[in-house]
Amino acid sequence: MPAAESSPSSQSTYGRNHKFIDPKTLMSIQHLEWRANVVVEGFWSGLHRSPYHGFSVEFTEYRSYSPGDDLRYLDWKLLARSDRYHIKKYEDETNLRCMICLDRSKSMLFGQSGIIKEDYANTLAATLATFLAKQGDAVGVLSFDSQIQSYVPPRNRPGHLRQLIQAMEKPGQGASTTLEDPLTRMMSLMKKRGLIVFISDFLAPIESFGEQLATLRAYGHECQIFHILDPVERYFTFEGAIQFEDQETGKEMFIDPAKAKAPYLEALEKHLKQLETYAHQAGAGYHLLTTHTPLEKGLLDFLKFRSHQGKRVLRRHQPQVKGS
Amino acid sequence: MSFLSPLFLLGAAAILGPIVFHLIRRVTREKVPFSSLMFLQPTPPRLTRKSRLEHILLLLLRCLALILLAMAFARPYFANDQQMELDADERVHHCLLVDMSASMRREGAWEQVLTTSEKWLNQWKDQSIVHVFFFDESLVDGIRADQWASLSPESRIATSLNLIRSQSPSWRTTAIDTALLEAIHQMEEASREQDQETQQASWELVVISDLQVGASYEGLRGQDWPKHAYVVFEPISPQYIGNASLQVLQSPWHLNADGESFSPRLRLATSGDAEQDQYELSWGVSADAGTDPSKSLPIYLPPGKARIVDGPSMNSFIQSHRLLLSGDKDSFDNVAWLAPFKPRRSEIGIITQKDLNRPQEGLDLYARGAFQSIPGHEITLQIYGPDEATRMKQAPPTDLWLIHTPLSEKVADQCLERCQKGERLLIPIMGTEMQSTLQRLWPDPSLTLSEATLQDYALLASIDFQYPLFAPFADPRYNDFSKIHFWKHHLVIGPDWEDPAHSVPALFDNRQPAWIVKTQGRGKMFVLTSSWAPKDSQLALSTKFVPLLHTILEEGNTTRGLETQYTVGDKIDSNAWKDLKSLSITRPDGVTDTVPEGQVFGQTHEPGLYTVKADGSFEWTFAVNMSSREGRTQALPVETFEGLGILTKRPDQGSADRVEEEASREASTRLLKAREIEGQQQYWKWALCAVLLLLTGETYLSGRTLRRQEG
Repeated sequence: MPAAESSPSSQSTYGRNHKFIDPKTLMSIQHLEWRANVVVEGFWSGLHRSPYHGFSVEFTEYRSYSPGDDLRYLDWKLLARSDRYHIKKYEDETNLRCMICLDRSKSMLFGQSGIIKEDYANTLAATLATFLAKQGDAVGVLSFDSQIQSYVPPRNRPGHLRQLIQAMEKPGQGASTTLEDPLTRMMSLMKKRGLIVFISDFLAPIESFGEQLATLRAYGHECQIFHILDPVERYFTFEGAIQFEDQETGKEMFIDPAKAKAPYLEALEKHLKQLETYAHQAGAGYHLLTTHTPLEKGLLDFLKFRSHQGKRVLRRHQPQVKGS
Repeated sequence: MSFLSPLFLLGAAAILGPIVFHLIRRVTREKVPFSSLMFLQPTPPRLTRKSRLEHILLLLLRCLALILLAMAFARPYFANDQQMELDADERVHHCLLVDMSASMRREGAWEQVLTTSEKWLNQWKDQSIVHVFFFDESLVDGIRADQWASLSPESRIATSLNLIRSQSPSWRTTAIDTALLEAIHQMEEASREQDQETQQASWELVVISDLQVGASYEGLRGQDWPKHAYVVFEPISPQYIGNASLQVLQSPWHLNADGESFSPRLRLATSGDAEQDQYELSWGVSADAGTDPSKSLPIYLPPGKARIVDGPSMNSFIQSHRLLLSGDKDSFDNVAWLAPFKPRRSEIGIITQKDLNRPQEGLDLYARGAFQSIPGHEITLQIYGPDEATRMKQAPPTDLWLIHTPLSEKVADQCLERCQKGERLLIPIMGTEMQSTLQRLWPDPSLTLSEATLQDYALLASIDFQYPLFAPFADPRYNDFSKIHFWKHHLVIGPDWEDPAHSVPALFDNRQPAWIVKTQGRGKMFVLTSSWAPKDSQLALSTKFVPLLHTILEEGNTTRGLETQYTVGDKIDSNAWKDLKSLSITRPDGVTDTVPEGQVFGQTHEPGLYTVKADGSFEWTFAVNMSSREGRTQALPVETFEGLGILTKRPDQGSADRVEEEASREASTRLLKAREIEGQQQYWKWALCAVLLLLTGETYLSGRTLRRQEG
């Protein structure tokens, strides 16, 4: 089982007495925007940083230098003119550009346990978008199946969040999942560095996905992968002889679940491992969520990973104080 | 078990539906959509031998519910043999009604009646209850049901046909309403005598008739026609289509302006289907002689029209009694009979003074003026002197004697004698000198006359308009006598007014008798206590005068009020000749019937002249004609009777149809019986209850199964 996988039973680990909302209850709220607001409520921490520093920082005030202050913020020009030590104070502001890539293939319409994967993925995407928008970050949405279906560029302006949610609510065209073409296309769309969040069931060949992920990272994008599965897909709880029909291809297969379960789980585990390996190799976050997992957990994983990654980024790309 | 509507059992085939659905459901239920088969390998499950149908109990419940529902619609019933035997015993009562009215005299009609009757009687020869009736104005028994039943099946046909052959059409009108209602009544009576079982039998009435529009059917309106009786009308089609008929209008004889000839008023009518429009009217000189072409009258009359015409003129001295209509092929109604013209003669004797300057001049003058001859009524006036006893003795029978002057004893005795034989005396009293004459005529020697004392004048105050003398004035338009002033009148003292031989039909306003009528043997004596002389009263100047004198004259007319025209079937009250004794009537066929006093003569069976004889000398002839209704021969549609609520049935066209009809009738009877049994048993209700119970069980079972599957 992948390390990042979580289940509802382990929610106390993340919440510290925080009660997560049951996904079924959450899905009973009809409007996607309201669902996202409910999840985001209480998660306002802003624990992330922009990969750029000093570029868009705005000056607010001076204060006298006291020993121990970071010399990076010492106003050298003022020192030269007046021979006094002043520290410049800035107002923190992010210019994070986040693109949420949402899988709208037919397989996402599966929902044997009461929650359709697509609904769950939409809610997760809306939650992330709301969360980031509230921090003032620019968020965009790109939906795809075998190719890109819709694209809303990242922006941060009033009303953009509603536009995003409308794009998410738009029903998919219903084709099979192909990762290669949409990723290639997205590289041309995302010129500036930013955060790329993949939300998909990844029920497609992923042989080339590792390379493409590495390419994205090479471009300087930060990547987060949310792998959404139905519990039935994850644990294959079918009984009795069943005629299975592939939702994407329509292909039928007569299967005895008792016999097919073990090979299925083995193949799935292999697939998950492969995906996680690609993510690790590319330095991307990988979060496996079943539709029974509370959405807050996904958000927490996301923030924790970014916080951890932010530190690493900070450590790796710590700016040098001028003159030091 | 039998079914009233077995076709509904086909509905039980609907059980195929649940069976198929149970099979289909199994296949579809096993098909599950899955997000992706990329991690799955085909692993076919091992085959099992269990039945393809699942939820057998549920399927059985559903199938059973459908079968029971189909059975409920098919209306099941159980009928044993005994009940079916009852069906077989159910009978139909038959009734044959043969029209023998005058219109059946048309060419070829009666032959068809015989043929059609034979056809029906052959069909019924094995039936036990058959009535045969004849009808025209009334219903006549032919063969009653008990007579029919007593005959052997072989002899029934022959007996019935012989009876019908022995009949011939009458001259009466057609009354289908009376015939049908009376036949139903007779069948009811016959049914009551049968067992209770046959009360339910249906009645078939076959009417063999030409169904002419002139037939009477209005009596059926508003009648409650029995639901188990139906009528089969067998219309007769005579050889010729269309008809013209002749009707003598009821009008008194009157001579034409020449005073010698007369033209009777006639009504000529043609039926709507008549094929010609040119006819001729002529007199038959006698019953046996032909027509006189010189006197024929051509008449144009289009089909469906009627005209009132004056017939060809006939000299009153030629005694012809028949008017003939030519140009019409059916001759049964082409003759109109007329009673021979018989001018009336009245003899009146006036006994008065023949001297000039006599006081009776006014009386004589107005009396002569009142009794004038008119066409058809010749009045002869004879003047006698008060002492012309010999001449009076030789005088012919006189209807009325006017006594204007005191009479000698001999003349008075003769007058009394004539009065007692039936002649009438009219005595106006001009003065008290009439006392002796009146005493002689009354005869009452104690009778005295005295002149009444009047202040101014007297009026007729109390008049008995019921009395025959004043009956013509009973109408309020004519009963005003207040304008007649009497300047003088006399008191008649002495008679016993309580004597029923005396009548005082009018009193003066001083309560003294004005008119006294005394019966003398067979005659009557009319006494006016005043006179019509202008010096005594204004009576002669009044419009009442002439009618009053003629009323007295008519008192002795034995033919007064006698009709000259009757219709076939009319009943003539012999009271019309109540004054005549030993009445006998000779019919056209020469048969003479004696009519007892107070009885009705109803033997007017055929058209022609009937002669009444009485008292040896009285003779009166009247004509009897066929009703003009019979001449309206256009066919009456059967729908008319259906509109009146009569259940009808079309007659069979042939033997094959008859067999089919019989089979159809039997089938319908069986169906009715089956319906009755099913209606009593009503098993369909139980079947529906069972369906409801099964459906309840099915609902519970399927719900439980579903919950179990979801769990």
